[in-house]
This record gives sequence, structure tokens and C-alpha cells, in this order.
Amino acid sequence: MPGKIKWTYYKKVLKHPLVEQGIPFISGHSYGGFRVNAVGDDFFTKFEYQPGQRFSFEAADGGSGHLSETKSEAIAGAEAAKLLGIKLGDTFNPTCGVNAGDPVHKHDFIKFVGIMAPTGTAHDRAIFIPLKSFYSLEGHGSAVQEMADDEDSREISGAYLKLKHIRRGALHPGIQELKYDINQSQGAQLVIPAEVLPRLYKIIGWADTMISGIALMVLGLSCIFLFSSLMAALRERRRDIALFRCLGATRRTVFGLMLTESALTSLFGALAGLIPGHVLVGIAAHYIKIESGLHFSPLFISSADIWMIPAALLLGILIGFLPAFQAYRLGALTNINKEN
Amino acid sequence: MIKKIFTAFICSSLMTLSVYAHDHKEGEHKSAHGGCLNAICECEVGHAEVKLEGDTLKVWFVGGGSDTLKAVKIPDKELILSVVPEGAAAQSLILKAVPNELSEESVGNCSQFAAKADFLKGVKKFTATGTVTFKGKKQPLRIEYPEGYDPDEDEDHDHDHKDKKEEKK
Amino acid sequence: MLIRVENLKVSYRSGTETLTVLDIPAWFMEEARQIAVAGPSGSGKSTFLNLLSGLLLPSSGSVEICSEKISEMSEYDRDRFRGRHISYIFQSLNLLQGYTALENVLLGASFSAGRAERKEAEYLLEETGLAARMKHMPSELSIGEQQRVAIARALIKKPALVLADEPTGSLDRKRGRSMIELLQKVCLERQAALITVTHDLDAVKAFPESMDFAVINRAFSGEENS
Repeated sequence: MPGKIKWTYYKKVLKHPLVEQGIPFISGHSYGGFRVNAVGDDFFTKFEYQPGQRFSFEAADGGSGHLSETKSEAIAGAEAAKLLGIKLGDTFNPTCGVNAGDPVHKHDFIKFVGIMAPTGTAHDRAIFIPLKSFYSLEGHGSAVQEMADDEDSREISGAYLKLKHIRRGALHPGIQELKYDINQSQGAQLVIPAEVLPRLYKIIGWADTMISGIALMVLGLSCIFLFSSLMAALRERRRDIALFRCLGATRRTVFGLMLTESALTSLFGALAGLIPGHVLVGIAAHYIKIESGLHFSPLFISSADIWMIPAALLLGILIGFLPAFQAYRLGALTNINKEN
Repeated sequence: MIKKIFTAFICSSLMTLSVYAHDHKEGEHKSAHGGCLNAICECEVGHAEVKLEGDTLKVWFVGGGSDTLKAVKIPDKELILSVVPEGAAAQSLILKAVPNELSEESVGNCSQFAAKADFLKGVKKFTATGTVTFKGKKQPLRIEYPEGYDPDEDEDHDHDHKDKKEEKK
Repeated sequence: MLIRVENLKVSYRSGTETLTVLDIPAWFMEEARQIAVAGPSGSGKSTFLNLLSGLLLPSSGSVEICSEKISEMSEYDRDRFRGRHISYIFQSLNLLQGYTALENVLLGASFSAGRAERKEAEYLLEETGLAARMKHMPSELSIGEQQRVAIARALIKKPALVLADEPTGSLDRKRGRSMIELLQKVCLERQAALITVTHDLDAVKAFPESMDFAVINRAFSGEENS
């Protein structure tokens, strides 16, 4: 009923020399549309949702309450608590599966004793109860309740494993053999997020490549437009340039003015693209957070953003070079009496 | 102008798709333990992944085609191989089933076999022959180390069976 | 002495022949003087102004202004010299279209050594009767007003010499007269010498001194166009 992985198998995995630590969990329940996961006690004290980041209940971080100490106590993720209006001391009945109104746990009341500080991860959108509490729930019947005291009869849905790393944070190469060994078993599968995520990104990568391609195309077109508009401006302003020369501007000054115009146009273009881009991320971040719990900051400045400024300036200078040279070569006397 | 933009768009789309297609080249076999893959009968039936570490020869039986990361359980309790190291005489080697606890294996239902022998020390290249009960049938087993055995080699079959670690040496 | 011109010649090659369009053996001008240069079309008046401004180099001879031989300077140095000491006023289309009257005036000092003073520009525009038109674009100004902006722009950098090439050419007689008076007044106030090229006899009469370029330019025969 609770899961597919036998506790005895989980213990064998824990004994493997490459496994440093494990945190078991059971999923399959929900409340108000949010997943209710039963987790091992170490989850709140040892689990790092990001390197070096552990869950907090501190008010300063935006959390409240404390860890569940007895059974029938639950902890809510920040987003779940906010959206369901959960307050400390509130009680709820979990639902088997995700369909509300399931009567299996109508006598199982669990009290919220803690609300975790926001993490910006999917954990914000879940509710957690201790593993032992889960086995004690009345609704699952006596066979499951016995698992609370008899560890070897337990079953779990899965476990987070902390695997041995070698220098520079890389996974131990032996992990591949561990993965092979576990994945040959009937009831368990080892998934290494560091391997799966790049594969996922590879699958959705075509969209990224497509967008990059379109961006490159737009960049190319922008360069052509900038160049042609500079050339057109040069044709229209031949007399103005001649007038500058009559007022005392040197050829070098005229060259510099034209180059500056090109570089600034390019720079403002880059800024005009960056700012709405970040505003768009800001708008999309709100919806992504609602849908997935993932946090994107519109204020995040990537290295690409930083490089874009000098790159735009350089591109502007390169594009402006030919029009600037043409302006440099313009004769003052031959153009001063020309009408535009 | 619109024609030029349209052409540029089509070109960039084709480039994008070609990059995508290049990244998804199919037909490559992967070995789970970094050993060389030796086809059993033909590539689609199954493979014996072979790795020589010092004086220990390890053999994992895995699936064919793209299933080279999937173990195939062998009912045999041991395998007898005739091993011919390069430039040396043939020697007999008995590999015992080594059941893996995490793979829920047992002797008689095991995909991994291993044997230790002094004559294997320092061997860089060898061939070995024997038989194995693979997927319910007695099949001839041929190992060519470190290149890997591939009966379809002469046909349109461009994937690599070689032990990558050996290749580096 | 503000201007000293000696053996000034401008010649062009036309096939195998050399065509001389300007030939002035000697000509001088004191500081802060005002002179009208008259003469028929093609007598070389505009070429003369271009030589004095340094926009054109003579084929031979020398042009010395403020004791500096500009005819021996590089183009870069001539441009800089012009930026500091010489102002030019044209017959029309004197202003940059995208700039207000005030900005056009400030532009006059942009290439000189000193800084463009906004107050000075405003004062000059007031003096030229354009106090209420400072923020106007050239397209919103009449031709006469545009010429007055050009006068203000010519004077903002406190030049030693103002060259005006047919400044009344686009104006009617009455406006032309008042334009010349204004030009003379502001140049006198700022001790800038003024050379005005014109074929408008009324304008010539308004000047204390004038010279007939058909007489001064020995290369002018009365038949050719420069």
C-alpha cells in the first residue's frame, strides 16, 4: 500500500560504500491540491535543497513553528501554507491520491505545527508529515499500522540518497555501477538528478536553440538596419556635416561623432532589449512560481547580460566604421551648398 | 526585403534543426561498466560486457540493441572459456556467477561472472570462446578484448564496441 | 594686422591647360574693420572667402590671419584655427534642422577652445531680436530669423573674423538692410572684423569700406565663371 520499495532493500542500499546517507519518503497523498509527503526525520535537519541550504522555521527567514515532534503533526511548505491559508494549530485530513473527498482518512486529523521558510523550490508547494506518523494513520488499516513498529515490514516510495563525491564536487565514478546494479532490480530505480536534468534540457533544448537562432537572426537584421540607417542619415546630413566642418570641426571629430552615434544607438538598443526582457521574466516568474514553485528573479543579472553591454558597444563601433569613414572623407566645400 | 528575411529565417531554422538532429545520433551502444561489448550471435540478441582488471576477468551479460544497460540473467552457475592471450597459448578459465545483492540476483539467476587467474596479469589483448545459456538458448560466446566482438562489422554497422579505457591506454 | 594676403593664386588644371581663377598680388586688413566685397558672379569672391577661412588652399602665395600663416597649415590645424578665430555665415540653410535656435547658437562654440555659454547664447539671441524664439526649431523660423540665428552663432565664440557670403541673398531689400545693420552692430560690439561678400549695392553702401573684386582679382576677365 504505501510504496514499492521494501525497507529491507533500502537498508541494503544504505550499506553500499558509495552511499553516505539516505532520507526515505512516501508520497501518494494530498491535501487541498498539494502533495502530502511522509519523510524521514533527517529531512528537516540534514537535507540540503540547495548546496549548503537547509530548511528553516525561523521567523526572520519567513518561517514559523517547529519540527513535528509527535505523530499526527505536519509541516507546510511556504507556498502551500500561503495558498491554503494554513495557520499553526490548524488540522487537516489527508487524501489518498489527489482526489478531494476520499473518505479513507476521515478520522486521521493531523495538526500543522510548522511552516517552512520559502526555499524557492518545489518543497514550498508540499506538506510534510513524519514517516512514523504516516504508518500510524488509521485509514490504511492494521497491516500498514504495524509497519510503524516493525521496520523490516515497511515499504517506502523512495529515498533521497547522498552519494560520495570526489574532488570538486564531482560524483564518484562508481556511481554508474551502483545505478546499474539498482536498476536491474524489480522494485527500485536510481535516478541521478545531475544526469537527468541535462537530458531534460537536451529535450527542451531545441526550443532554446530555436530562440537563440531567432535572436541571432534579429541581431543580424538589427545590424543591417543600423548600418543602412546610418548610411541614410549620412546621405541626409551631408550638409550638416559640412556645416560642422565650417564651424571648426575636424575630420577626426566628424568621424568620432558618427562612430559615437552608432555605438550609442547599439547600446541603447541592447538596453532597450534587456530591460523588457527582464520585465518579461518578472511577469512570467509569477506564473511559473504558481505552476511549479520554482523561483526566477527578474533582477538576476547573468554574465550574458553583462557581456551584452560591451558587445553591443563593440558591434555598434564595427557597424559605424564605414559610415564614419564616409563622413570623414566628405568635403566641406563640395557639400556646404548642397540642399538635402 | 521580405524575401530576404524569409530566406534568412528558413536558413536559420534549417541550421537549428540540423544541430538538433546531429545531437540525437542514434545507434550507439553504451557499456555500464566501461568494458568492451561482445555481441552474442548478433548485436540485437545481446552482449557480453568484458572488463579485465589486473588478474580478474569480469563479464556482465546485457541486452542487445539499445538495451546494453539492462542485465540479462543467466541460469548457468559458471562459464568455461578458452582464453587465448595475444602471443600465448590457449588456457581454460572458469568464471563463477557473482550475484549482485542490489540487483536481486542469485546463483543460477545472475548476470555477472568473474574469474581470477595469474596468466591474465599484464594481458592487453586476448580472444576467448565458450558457450552460455542466453535467453533460454545455448549460444556460442566469443570475446575479442579490448576491441569487442561484432559479427556485423563488415556490414553497415558503425558503432563502437571498444573498451574506452583500454583505448586511452 | 588681421589679414595679410600675398601673391595669392588659385589655379585648376583643365586638360593640358592651367586655368587661374584667382590672382591677388597683395591685400591687407586691420583688426575690427568691416568691408564689403562686391563684384559680379564668377569674380572669385566666394573662392576668396574660402581661402580666408582655410577651407581652401591656394595654389601659391600665402594667407596670414592673426599672424599665423594658415595657407601653410595642415587641414587639421586649419580646422582648429577656424574653430577658434573665424566664423562663417552663408546665404541660406545655415542651421541644423534637428536643433532649436538656442542649440544652433551654442553649436557655434562647440568646436572652439572655450566653452559654450548658455547665457551668452541667450544674450546674443535677445540682441538679434529672437528672445521669444529661442526654443523654436529652424522650420518654425522665417528665413530672416534663421539668418539672425546664424549671426548669433557666428559671434558666440568671439571670433577675430566673421565671413559672410551673400547674407542678404535670400531676403527682401528691407530685411536685407536691417540684417546688414545688425551684423555690423554685433561685430563692432565684439571687435570682430567683418568681410561680407555681396552683389547687393544697397548692402555695399551700408559699409564704410568696400572693394570691387573684379578689379582686385587680376585673373578675372569678366567672361569666366569661377
